[in-house]
Amino acid sequence: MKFKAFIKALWDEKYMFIFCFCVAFLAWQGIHKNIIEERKKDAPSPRIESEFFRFSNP
Amino acid sequence: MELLKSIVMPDGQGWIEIIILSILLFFVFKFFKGTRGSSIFSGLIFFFIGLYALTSIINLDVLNWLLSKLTLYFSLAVIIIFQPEIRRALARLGRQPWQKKGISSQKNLTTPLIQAVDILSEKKIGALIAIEREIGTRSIQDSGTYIDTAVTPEIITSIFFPRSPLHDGGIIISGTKIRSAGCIFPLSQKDHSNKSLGTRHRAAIGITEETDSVVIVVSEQTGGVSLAYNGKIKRGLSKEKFHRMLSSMLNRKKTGLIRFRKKIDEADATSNEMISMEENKDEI
Repeated sequence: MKFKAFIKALWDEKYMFIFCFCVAFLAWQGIHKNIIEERKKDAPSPRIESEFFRFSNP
Repeated sequence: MELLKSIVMPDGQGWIEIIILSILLFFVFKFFKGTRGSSIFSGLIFFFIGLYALTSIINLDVLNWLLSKLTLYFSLAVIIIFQPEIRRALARLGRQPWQKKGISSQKNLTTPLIQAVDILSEKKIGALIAIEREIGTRSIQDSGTYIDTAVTPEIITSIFFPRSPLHDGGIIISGTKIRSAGCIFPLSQKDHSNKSLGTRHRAAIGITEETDSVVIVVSEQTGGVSLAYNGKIKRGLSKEKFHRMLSSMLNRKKTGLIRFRKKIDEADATSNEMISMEENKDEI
């Protein structure tokens, strides 16, 4: 019953939902891009990685 | 063209995230719809999110950095601007089903209240009567004069009689007693397009936006009786309809918000007199 009411609420104001979807899509793009950049920053540089590899496997 | 190229197509998880985000945004918009801050909110959200996404996509690093630093101030501004709405949302959280203990039946109040309202309406004496349900109204009771008395038509009419010291403001009935009179109810925070809505009616809507109280309003000008509940008001009720609605509400041991809202929405469809304070029929 609650689910039906929820769907009905969405359908009654579909245009507002479409607007929200567009805003959410844009927001997702921005956040996603920033997350990827942060991950790149946090990832160890290849030089350090190779050093580590050299020491752990003599 | 480059802008389009830099748009990342989300994977399955990404789409789920976007859908959840849009549903959250939808309900936030719906919650703010009709309030004084709704246009500011839509503008801020669209401007902030749009700019944030744009600066991230086309690598405007300085603007993006500035926006990310402004997030804290933006959140603070939102809390200050929407303080009444946030208060209302928190009050709503307080009436979740898992927290409901149920209240004692107030059906004994129906007859004296109906009699009092009939007299007040006939004599065109303005009145504002709030019946407390599950959410406490202590802070509002404190704004008036504490009286701990039984609910009788004589007492109610004498309180609201013009020139009586307590006739200004409203009375609050808690349990089966009048707890306080001359109380200052909070005015509704919603944008009222209907100019015929007086301060008494706005106060009735105001208290029902923050609590689950049932409020009876008698108009001083017309003697018309209105019933407010959950941010909605039904105006110009006939005697029979008022009796029926009030007794059905007070006979219940639980607030029954959803059922009442359905009822009031059905009445809305058939009657043009209904003034809807919440244009959208949101689920609680």
